[in-house]
Amino acid sequence: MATGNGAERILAVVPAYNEEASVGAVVRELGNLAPFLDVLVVDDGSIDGTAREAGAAGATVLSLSTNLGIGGAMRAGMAFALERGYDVAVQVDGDGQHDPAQVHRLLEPLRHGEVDAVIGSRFLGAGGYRPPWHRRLGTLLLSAMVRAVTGTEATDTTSGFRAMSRRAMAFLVENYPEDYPESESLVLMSMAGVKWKEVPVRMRSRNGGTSSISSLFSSAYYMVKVIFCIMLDASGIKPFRPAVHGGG
Amino acid sequence: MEIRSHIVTLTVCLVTAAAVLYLIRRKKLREQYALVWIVVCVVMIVLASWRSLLEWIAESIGIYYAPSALFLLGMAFSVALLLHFSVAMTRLYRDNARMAVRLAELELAGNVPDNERVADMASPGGT
Repeated sequence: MATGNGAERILAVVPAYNEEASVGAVVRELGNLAPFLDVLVVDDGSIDGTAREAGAAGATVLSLSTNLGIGGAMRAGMAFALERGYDVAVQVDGDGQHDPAQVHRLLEPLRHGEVDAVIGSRFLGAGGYRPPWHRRLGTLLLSAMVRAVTGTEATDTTSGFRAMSRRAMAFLVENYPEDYPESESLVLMSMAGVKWKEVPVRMRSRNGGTSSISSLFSSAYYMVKVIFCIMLDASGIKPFRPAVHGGG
Repeated sequence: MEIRSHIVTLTVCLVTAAAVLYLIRRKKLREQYALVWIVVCVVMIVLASWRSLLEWIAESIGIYYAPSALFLLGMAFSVALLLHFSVAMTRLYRDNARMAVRLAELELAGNVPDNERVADMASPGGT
């Protein structure tokens, strides 16, 4: 397992909405990777014991007063990371789908300075988890679209399992899309010159809680919305704040 | 006469669509709401252009003059959307109220962050 060099500070940002069944385990697993990373749980206005479980497991908890969605929760987490001088932020979902043991795979390319953001893809290489066909269809369509617009290899555009450098964080915190941001942020980053790449990772199926995109109908609606947003970005109708060089 | 009412409808829809895109550009409108308006505009344009479909709908509702059905549908969409937004605003008001009181209590207890930079960075619309 990779260990951080002494100077690098890494923050694991764990967005969680009503994930009391799994968040404790996620925090504890991340804790095993300590001391080279700190853990922040962003409790997205949960009405169950998510904050309590996260705190008991030893994480710092940012409890949002109301549910903002994954876009708002990650923005809060990135702002926190930037303000407190972290060099890297890693998103690890509170539902247990992301495997903390795979975090080092996300950090490798960042260390070499190749890219500003690394996306963990389930579908690159061996994988191990294949979602039901109707979700796969949407992902394939989205991946094709992102690839076409950005010219970068993309196979898992809805993956939230990502590591970001300060430069990527500074850009995303200003431009993060509010709803279903994973795919759209890839397009925005490419347009702004914030380099990213995918690496293969293994993910697990959800531990506790229920999937928020559960039916075919909402999957279709999600697709339409994301495609609409990507078209707005790519066409230049929706502007974005440019990236800075160092990341501040 | 019928052609004129169709042209009016088309113009209104195109102007609405342009206004929606302009508001997105100025970051005053969230994309999810924009999508709803664009879809409504597209449906209205289709109905305004496809006369036989509109006439069939008008007949089913019992309306003699087809363009009236168009305006009725437009109004129905608008009412539904306004209702949706009224509900959304109610929720936002309540969230806001709860937060305002919570913040006041925290400040009273001396639990305020040193600066507002994290909140400023994380709030939609940027600094």
